[in-house]
Amino acid sequence: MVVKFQNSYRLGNTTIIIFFVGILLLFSILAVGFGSVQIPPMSVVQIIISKLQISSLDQGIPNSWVTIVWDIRIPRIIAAVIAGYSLAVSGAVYQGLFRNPLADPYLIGVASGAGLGATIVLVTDVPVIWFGAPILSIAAFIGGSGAVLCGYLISRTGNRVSLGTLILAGVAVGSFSGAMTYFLMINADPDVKPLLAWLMGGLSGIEWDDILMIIPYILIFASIVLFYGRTLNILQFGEQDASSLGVDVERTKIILILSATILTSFVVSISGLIGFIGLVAPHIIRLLWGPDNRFLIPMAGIMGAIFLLIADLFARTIASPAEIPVGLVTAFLGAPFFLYILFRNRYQVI
Amino acid sequence: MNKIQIQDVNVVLNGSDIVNNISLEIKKGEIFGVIGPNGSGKTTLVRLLSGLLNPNSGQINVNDSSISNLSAKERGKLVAVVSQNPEYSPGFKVWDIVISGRNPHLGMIQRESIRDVMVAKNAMERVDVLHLSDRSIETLSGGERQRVFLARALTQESSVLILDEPTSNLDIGYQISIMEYIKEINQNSEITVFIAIHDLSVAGHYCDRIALINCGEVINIGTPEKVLNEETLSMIYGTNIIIVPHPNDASPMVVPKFNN
Amino acid sequence: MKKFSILTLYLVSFLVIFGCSNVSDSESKVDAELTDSVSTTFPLDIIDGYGKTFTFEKSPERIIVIDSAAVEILYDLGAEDRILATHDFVNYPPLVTEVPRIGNAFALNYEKIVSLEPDLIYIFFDGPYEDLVALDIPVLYIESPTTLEGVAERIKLWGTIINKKNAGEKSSNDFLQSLSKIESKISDVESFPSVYHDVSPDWWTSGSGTLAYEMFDRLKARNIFDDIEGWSQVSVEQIVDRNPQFVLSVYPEGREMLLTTEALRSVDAIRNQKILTIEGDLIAIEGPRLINGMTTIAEFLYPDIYRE
Repeated sequence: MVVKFQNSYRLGNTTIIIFFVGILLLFSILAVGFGSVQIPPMSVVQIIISKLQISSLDQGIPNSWVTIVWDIRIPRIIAAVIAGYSLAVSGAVYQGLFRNPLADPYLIGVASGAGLGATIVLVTDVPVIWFGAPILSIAAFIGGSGAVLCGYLISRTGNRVSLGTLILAGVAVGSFSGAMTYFLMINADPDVKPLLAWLMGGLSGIEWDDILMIIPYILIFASIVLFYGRTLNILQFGEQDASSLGVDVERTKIILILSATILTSFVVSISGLIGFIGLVAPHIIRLLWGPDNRFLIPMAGIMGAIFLLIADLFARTIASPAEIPVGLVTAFLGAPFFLYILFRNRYQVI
Repeated sequence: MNKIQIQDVNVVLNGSDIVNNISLEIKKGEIFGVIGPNGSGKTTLVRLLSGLLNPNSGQINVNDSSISNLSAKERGKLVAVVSQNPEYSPGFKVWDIVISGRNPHLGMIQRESIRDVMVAKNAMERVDVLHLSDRSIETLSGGERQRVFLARALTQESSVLILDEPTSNLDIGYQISIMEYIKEINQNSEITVFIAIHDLSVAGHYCDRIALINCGEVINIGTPEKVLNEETLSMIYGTNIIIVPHPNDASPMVVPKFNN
Repeated sequence: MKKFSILTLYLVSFLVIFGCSNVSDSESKVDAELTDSVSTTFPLDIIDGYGKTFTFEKSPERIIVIDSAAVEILYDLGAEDRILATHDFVNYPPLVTEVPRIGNAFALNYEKIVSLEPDLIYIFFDGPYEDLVALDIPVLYIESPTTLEGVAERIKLWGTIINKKNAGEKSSNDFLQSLSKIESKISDVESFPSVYHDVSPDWWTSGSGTLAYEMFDRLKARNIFDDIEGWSQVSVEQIVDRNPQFVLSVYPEGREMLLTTEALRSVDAIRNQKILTIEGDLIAIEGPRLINGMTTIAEFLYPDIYRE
């Protein structure tokens, strides 16, 4: 009788993760070399080296190239990686936690709620940053958690959460938040209307400050979620069995919902609403490698990051000098790929 | 020296008594069965012992510590539960499910050690599911699946095993095989077994002692021979029942008296 | 996602339709005999946006105007009493706020339109055309002009329609004369300043074929995105690379936003703070106010000439 041991199984997974992290790094580096404006790869390398204070800049390189590489491309690439990773991880967590393949930051209303929270800050006189605190992101988080809490409370009866109700409530809360946002937009002072363009999603305005503002929170909560892979697996057995297996179910749910909601909301606060990744990235991993959350969570994140990185590269180069919204690209590239994966695995239960 | 003590426990849900002043003492190493009609409070009793439900009043001690004061992890080390219809998500491998029984013994970021792996392997061998290790849970038959969840419970290495109608959806072959596994586990590992069970004859054969409950109250408690009597059962189940000795070992067999 | 793409569409359309000119090259021609006589001969035939003949039996008295430019022109011609209602976003002249509103381009209140009993409804986009025809309302659809000449023609056309030919021709000629005055004032300019037209903070701008483009062109300024057709979102990299000398921002926060955008540090216009905040309508609504817009931009681009 042949029995695979846990150890060898885990080693395989770790290898896959390291391999895809490598791909992500490679793509990120390559992406710096591509853009609407063509800059020779050697100049890109020189600019980065000089910025890292390793050597001084060659005289022949125009100042504008330095700005393009260092202040436009690199922040944008980092933002794509952060946003793709966070949205995909949140999607994986929501799907695992609510045990519903449809749960994603959009469907359960978190993203729309976060959009509403941020919009309220933008249309009122509340400062976007206050003594270093990212008020915009925090408002997005309050909106996002308000939405998820609302859906959760509505769908909770006794100590059971009806998952169908949760999704339906999420859709309703999401639509309501969307409508509120829309209402605020059309009734806003015409002067701030252009500011709300951010809501539609896109990474074109990302700067270092935006990234520095959210990255500590993203790192903290993305790491927390990583440790909950095994616990999420056990939650698949239902809350009662999970409790018998030593999981503090209520605390776990709070920590995971909080983390996923922070990840989603903070990303929404800098990049607006970018759909599709949170839903699709976890499913692709699940269909290819199975539902083990210890592997699924990091891999979905890496896949989401790679996916958004590529999508954004398309968005910023394909129509140069014009740009197209990245949400369009994620749907355009992602949907057919997802359908293909679904088709290939059509005999498999999701 | 009692393993489980249930003292004056009451559970009230939506204004009605689900469990009404029940006291039970389950001895170390015995197989204790709870029988009773549908809705009599068996499952509530199981949930109380599992620590999933806190009584409105009264006290439940396992190994002299109050179950409601324990953390989920401590509870998981003390008591393993196989629920009536264990939930699962498709795609998970049998191995992943069984090894999750080690969770109470592991820290948040701790990996399973070789010993954890051996415990899980042994448990799987005992209930003969080791060969299913790599199968997805949804591809198994009902009996195989029930054994997988039994293996998961054994992997917890707890001294108390609680089972909620473990045989209810199984054919007679699987019913008996599951009960035999449970008996073997009970005898060889000195695990105390608390079992809520529908099949009165199975209860009569496998349990050391039985409690008959109805409407949240204990009607009768004692050896199978004492508790399984025609008069009480007929009254409580609302149908005429006769008890016949089993041809092999004379354990009480409960059969309905058909009207024809 | 979906509802937000609708939102996107909404906002973008808002910019395109109400903030800026429509993108179409076809010019509507006035078919009527334009004579020096003071009054228009009715019935009057004009060609509408579909190329079909539209006949005015008499001059319309109760007009619903779903177009900011037409509203401005009618006010300019002293025919504001004929405006029965208009759309939600009209804000000039200030008095227009007292005129009833019947919705926006995406949601017209048909019940209200019918109840007002108009004898003409004017639209510059054809979306609601069929619906309005079905309601038995005389509906005139002509696209907005995309050139300054076209704007002058349009002023004249409205003068004809409302039977104020003289006023129409005078206003139209004034418009063209002011235009050539500005052009002759800068006739000696030989440098061609480059301009970025900042429409929204997520880098929407105008390209060729737009009214703004022609205005820049006549002002001898070069739109840095002259290789783009119509309105588009552009890459920040390209703005940095094309390094405009001037920026024209059409929303109030634009200036602060641009100055605080790290990525634009190296851009000449930003370093030299050559940023003009201008009301977007002044370079977008196809009416007499375009001259104000032209003048403001000219003063901004050529302070030396205008200081004299």
